[in-house]
Amino acid sequence: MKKSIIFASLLLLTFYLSSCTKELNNPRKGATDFDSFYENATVEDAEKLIAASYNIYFSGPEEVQVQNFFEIISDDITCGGGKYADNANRYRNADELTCQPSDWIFHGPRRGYSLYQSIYKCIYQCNLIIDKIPETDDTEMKRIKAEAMFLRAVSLFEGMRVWHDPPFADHIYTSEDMLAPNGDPAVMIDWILSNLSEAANILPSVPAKGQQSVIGGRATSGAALAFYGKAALWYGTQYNNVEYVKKAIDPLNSIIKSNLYDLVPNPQDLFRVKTDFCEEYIFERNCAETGSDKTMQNDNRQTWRSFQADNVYVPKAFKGYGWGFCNPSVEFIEFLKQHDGEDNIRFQAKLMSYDQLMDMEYADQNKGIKPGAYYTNHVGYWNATALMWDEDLYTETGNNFYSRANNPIIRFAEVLLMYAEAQFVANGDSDGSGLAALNRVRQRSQHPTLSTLTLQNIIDERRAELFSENERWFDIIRWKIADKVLENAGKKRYSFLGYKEGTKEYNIDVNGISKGEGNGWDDKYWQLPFGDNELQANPNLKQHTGW
Amino acid sequence: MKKNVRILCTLLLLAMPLFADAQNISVNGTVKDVHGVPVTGVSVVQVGNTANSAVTDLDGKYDISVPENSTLDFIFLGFRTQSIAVSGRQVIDVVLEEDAVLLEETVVIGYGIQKKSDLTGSVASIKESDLSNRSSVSAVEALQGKAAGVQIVNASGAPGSEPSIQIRGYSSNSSTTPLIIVDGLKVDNMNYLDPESISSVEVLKDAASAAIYGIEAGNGVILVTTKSGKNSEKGRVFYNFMSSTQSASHLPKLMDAKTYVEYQELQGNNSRSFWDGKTDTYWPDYMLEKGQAIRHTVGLEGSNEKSNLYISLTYIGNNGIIAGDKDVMKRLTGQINADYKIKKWLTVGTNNSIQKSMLRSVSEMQGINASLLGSMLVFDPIVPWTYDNNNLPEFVKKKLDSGMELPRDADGNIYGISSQNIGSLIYHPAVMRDRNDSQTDMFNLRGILYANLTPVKGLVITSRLGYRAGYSQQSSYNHAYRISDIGVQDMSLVGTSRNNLFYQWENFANYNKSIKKHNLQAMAGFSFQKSHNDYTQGTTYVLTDNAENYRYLSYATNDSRMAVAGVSTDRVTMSYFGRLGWSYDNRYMIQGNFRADAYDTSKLDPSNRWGYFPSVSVGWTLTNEQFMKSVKDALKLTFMKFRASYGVNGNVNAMGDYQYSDVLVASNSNGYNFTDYTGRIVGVSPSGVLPNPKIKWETSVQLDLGLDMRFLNERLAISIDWYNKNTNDLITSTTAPANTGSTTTYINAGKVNNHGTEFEVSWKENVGDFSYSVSGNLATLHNKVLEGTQVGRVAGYTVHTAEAVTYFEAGYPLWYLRLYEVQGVDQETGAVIYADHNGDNIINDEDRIYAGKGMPDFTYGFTINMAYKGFDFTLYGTGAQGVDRLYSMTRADNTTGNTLAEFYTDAWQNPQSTGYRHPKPTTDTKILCSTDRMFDASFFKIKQIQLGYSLPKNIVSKIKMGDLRIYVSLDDWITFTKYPGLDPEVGLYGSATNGLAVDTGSYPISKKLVFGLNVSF
Repeated sequence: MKKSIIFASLLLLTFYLSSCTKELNNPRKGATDFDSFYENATVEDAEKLIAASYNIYFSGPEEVQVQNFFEIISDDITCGGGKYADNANRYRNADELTCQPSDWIFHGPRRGYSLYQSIYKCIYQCNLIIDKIPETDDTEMKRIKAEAMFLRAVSLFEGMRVWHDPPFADHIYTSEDMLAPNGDPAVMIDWILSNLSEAANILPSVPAKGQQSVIGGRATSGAALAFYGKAALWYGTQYNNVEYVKKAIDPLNSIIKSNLYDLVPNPQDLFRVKTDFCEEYIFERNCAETGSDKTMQNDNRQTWRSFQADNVYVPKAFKGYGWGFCNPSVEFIEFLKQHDGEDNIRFQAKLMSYDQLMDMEYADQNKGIKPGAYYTNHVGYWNATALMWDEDLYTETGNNFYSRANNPIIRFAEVLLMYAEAQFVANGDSDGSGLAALNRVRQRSQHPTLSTLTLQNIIDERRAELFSENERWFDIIRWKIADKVLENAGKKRYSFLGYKEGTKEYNIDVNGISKGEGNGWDDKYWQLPFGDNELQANPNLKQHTGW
Repeated sequence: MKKNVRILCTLLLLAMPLFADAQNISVNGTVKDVHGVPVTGVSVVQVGNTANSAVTDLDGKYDISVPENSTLDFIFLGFRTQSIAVSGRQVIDVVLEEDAVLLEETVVIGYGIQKKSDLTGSVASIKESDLSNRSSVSAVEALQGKAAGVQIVNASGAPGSEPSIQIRGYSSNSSTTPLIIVDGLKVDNMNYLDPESISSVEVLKDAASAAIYGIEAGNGVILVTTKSGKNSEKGRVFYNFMSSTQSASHLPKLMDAKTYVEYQELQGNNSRSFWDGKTDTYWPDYMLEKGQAIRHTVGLEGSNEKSNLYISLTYIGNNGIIAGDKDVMKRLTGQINADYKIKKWLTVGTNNSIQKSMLRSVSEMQGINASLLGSMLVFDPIVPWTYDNNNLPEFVKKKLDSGMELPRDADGNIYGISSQNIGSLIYHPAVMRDRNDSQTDMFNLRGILYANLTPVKGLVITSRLGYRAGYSQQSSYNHAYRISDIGVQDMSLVGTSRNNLFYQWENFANYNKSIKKHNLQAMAGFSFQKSHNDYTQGTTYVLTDNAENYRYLSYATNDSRMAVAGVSTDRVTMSYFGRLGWSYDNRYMIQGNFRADAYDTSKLDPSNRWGYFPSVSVGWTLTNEQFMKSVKDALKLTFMKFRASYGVNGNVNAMGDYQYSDVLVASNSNGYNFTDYTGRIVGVSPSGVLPNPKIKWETSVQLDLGLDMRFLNERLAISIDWYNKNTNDLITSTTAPANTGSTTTYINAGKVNNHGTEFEVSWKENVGDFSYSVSGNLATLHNKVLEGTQVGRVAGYTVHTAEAVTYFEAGYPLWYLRLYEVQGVDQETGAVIYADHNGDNIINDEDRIYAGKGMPDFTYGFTINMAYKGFDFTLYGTGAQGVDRLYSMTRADNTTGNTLAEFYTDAWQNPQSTGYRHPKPTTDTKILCSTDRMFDASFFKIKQIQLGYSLPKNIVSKIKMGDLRIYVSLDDWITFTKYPGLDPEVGLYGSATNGLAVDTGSYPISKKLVFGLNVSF
């Protein structure tokens, strides 16, 4: 009897247990429900979404390693690094034009995801904000949606600059249509421009100096107009379509005339903390210290590009902790010597020579290249726009160093130069306002004004003014001069060994210590490749010729 | 048959002459088994005078001189011992009866036991006798070489490191460790078990045997049974002691200072200018010492007809071979097993393991600049151990002047610093050791509580509650130093507390019924499992004081970098399972298993949460067939059985959490600052996973064919298994079409095939007082990826700052080495000539080819046991053949590191060089990813040579002891290998095994001189 009671209760327990499948529901921690969040989003919620959008944008096309890549692949900058071999991140391939679709820049992930992925991640994030948050009359919400329009347009524009015809992500893809084909540039540019013009209408118009710091560098009407001009000019010149170049003129001109922006007097102050939220920056990455949480809002671009203390003694003004990547090329140094001259203020804002370095103040007697050491991919000039000024660093101690200096994405000098170019291409600068804009940039650099405008003037002024600002590669592609300026890409390697014994002459080794392995220009570089993983994931995506 | 024997014996007894004499007489006769076959090697011993004995010859005949009123024992393994009074007879023929107990040997299977003779699957059974007297401190190590197809993989030989078990090779792109069940409790590892407390280990190798564990059985199942008290009213108290001295068994030949400088010069580095011409430091000499390990076990066991009790307590202390006390493990383990038959129909019991341990370990396998083992092998030999404080080199003085905090030894001497410029990221091995103090303290309870009910004959209902609970406390303190501008480490302290709780409740019933020649078995049950883990972690960078007694989080000073972390995790599974078996006349057996498993929503979408795993197996014992009689006689075959099994297993462990869904994640690091100073806004964004609700567990399908044979009165046993296992639906993360905004999606893709043959042979024999046994096993392994997880190849392990070297790709073994092939050397320049496999005159990634693999072609092991009078001797060895390893100690961006001497001494040095193996030393990265750095890592190790002596019973009984045995043992003493690195047996073993073929500096398995003592009362 007792036994049967025990068995019966055991059986019952078993059935009881088998009925409690609810135990199998295990909600995820640290996650928010997808649909209801947008559906019921308050302004505060929407701010969290747009904050993430900015973050994704700045860690995508504007991220330091992506920027490094496009600097290095251009003719202005070489890979650098501790040793010639120290380029596991394939910068050497970029320098020597031996890239493959499996390289991280196309394939990823180097920092969690590739450039291609981060562009679409940003567009997706913005599409969700625009499509999923219900329409309201709330001005704050409208502003956030306009910021989303701005960021998705700028992201797709960056994608087009790199690949020309990447897939068009004007909507949220579903499992039905997710295998998107290559986009049509003509359709995409119109979408980009209409997004930017709509954003420009809604976003606030604020003077750069004084007010932009209040909003922490959020997108403004001016930023949308500047990118409108930039995108239209790029498309018009890339595809030889004057109609689009014309479209660039009015928005750029309205920025110039708005008096909300100006050039900072001394170009040497750019890229330093002292020019954070200055009158010249139209759109910038806010690298301010972030209060209690102290999350670094900067990437470590100064670390990548500063003096490598293994090879050279570092003056007191700088933190002696750099990796030595992205050194100015011989071609650029020669160009700038010709164009600006070594004593020019802008020359010194862009390049720092070994002589200058030796004249700086040091902690002790030691200075110069360390005994037995040499500096790879280097001819005695450093990139002065990305130095690790000790006074600019975060107050954090620790092993990695970040600069508080904001990173300008588009500045007034570029708007002036774009305007000059648009005027010249569209109407031969019929009213001379293009030349005036160009001369404004020249005057700031203490150069005499020019009396006539030529395309070569524009090309040279852009090269000098926008050095190491991630423009050169896209310029030489759209101007169709890449094959000429990169004819001998990667064939020569320079190593810098300091002064020749007992002289002030630079001791430069050519193709000895390290040897260039590049084969020069290849026509396939007119259009960069899609990553091989993307082609696998999306069979409808067609690879570019030659890759 | 047994009845016949009994009659025969009675007749024999009746035929005895009825007179007696006290004088010695000569007795002879023949010993046969019940089938009339003569038995060779039977010991015939005079009772009371064991010195007087004889052994039967090939015809089963013996001859012995004994007093006519004495008694003779006829002893032979596998047969019941017979005692026969001589009673003056001169001819005594004996028929030995097979020992029913032995033949009825049972094997533990999932949720039940089975007669070994009825087994239809491939189950390796390792008994107590195979495990006892092993000097290893880990139960896993004790399994090495004992069963074919069961490979023990050591990622490290450090104290407290946990070897992993691979059954029938690697079959997945993810971790492939088997499911381990101890006394019915699912456990995370079995290293906590003291080998002494294990009664048996069963390895379920084929899919049908494992299928009863369904979704977790895909990598095989290991069932461990701990001891219950032995059947003895008297009880037994025992104490075992072991002490071992350990040292490195195999040191690599590194370059000495002179060779090093010449080597560096040849590859274009001017190391000579940094050398004083005298210093020549061989770092392993400084960093290695003799390690000490001890083990004490004290225990008791006893039983009566109602209860069994086994209690043991083991202490292990192990200070490894790295100089200093940074590689230490201390562990206290208690095992308490008890059961009690309360009613005729009710037995209750509990088995518990209590473990308290402390672990300190040194860094290894992390790339050369981040580990002690790495720096010991690459630090420049031209750097001294320490400097003379009164005579510091200029550059060291300068460092001190500029405020560097240079690490010093206990006497205040500054440790040597690499003066070569790039050396700044590579530190002195002693700095690598001392830069961090970390310790993990752990407490764990693992156990079961069960009740067996037997309401009717043949039916056993079991209700079993299994539990694991424990906590661990980890503290890691980084010392501050500044060796150079780059070589900086801040003080930091990280404290982590972890709590874990797991319980499982299982109810199942076993039913057995025999009707005439039919035997029916049935089992059905239900299981519920839940785990809960919690952790809390704090990190600080400033303490109120850095003295040792302040290194606790309570003494942290508020600082913006202070960080906390912690989250709890729950996991639930639910399962139904059942088994049906039928056998007829001990000749034909068939068995079917079925399991249905559900996993919670952390792994599987609710629409897809149930998995179903069926299997079937059959057996045919040929030797029980009438028609086999003549064959049996001719071949002296006593037993032969065919087995075949087929089944489906799952592997849910390969799945990550919530891989099927996309969610919004709120995170501070994803936010942005919309003001000029504070006010960073938390960011909310999708996780980036393209949802795939259809994703499911990995599935393997395995066919196994086996043959068991025993010959010559059970002395020779041969077992052969052939298997073919296809693992499908590997879980892989792949690129999502990026235009969707997602970056990754998880899919089931890819297929891996493993097949192989396993042989086990054993021979045992007694010759008089001398008994011996020899057993050996060998398992071949063919592994191939049949379908990749994506188009093309998936890159695995990357040589630091160079390229990926292992790949997962269709048509090749799992994570094979894909390298540049060195075709030759230019005699003039010494330059490497790489094979240009695609013929485009450019040597790039496309020219790399399959070069080798980390998985052996076959593994093998053998054991020889011998006993003579009180002496016993064990020799056992194990090996792996056909395995390659890339010596990967050099970073691409640190070409000034030291390396193996042969890269210079056996390299091209000038155009006149001949007979070299390596090209001219070069700093080119490709060489690090080429066949030049790959070596054959096949090895054979004599794992143990042990000699023991048990004092005779009459002596130990005088000192009131039951047994007293002493032994000495040489463990891991001899290694045969061509591999030039530290230890071919250990290797980088990442979570996904993708670094299996890469050597980045693992802690070697030390050789040990062991002394031990076992006593019982």
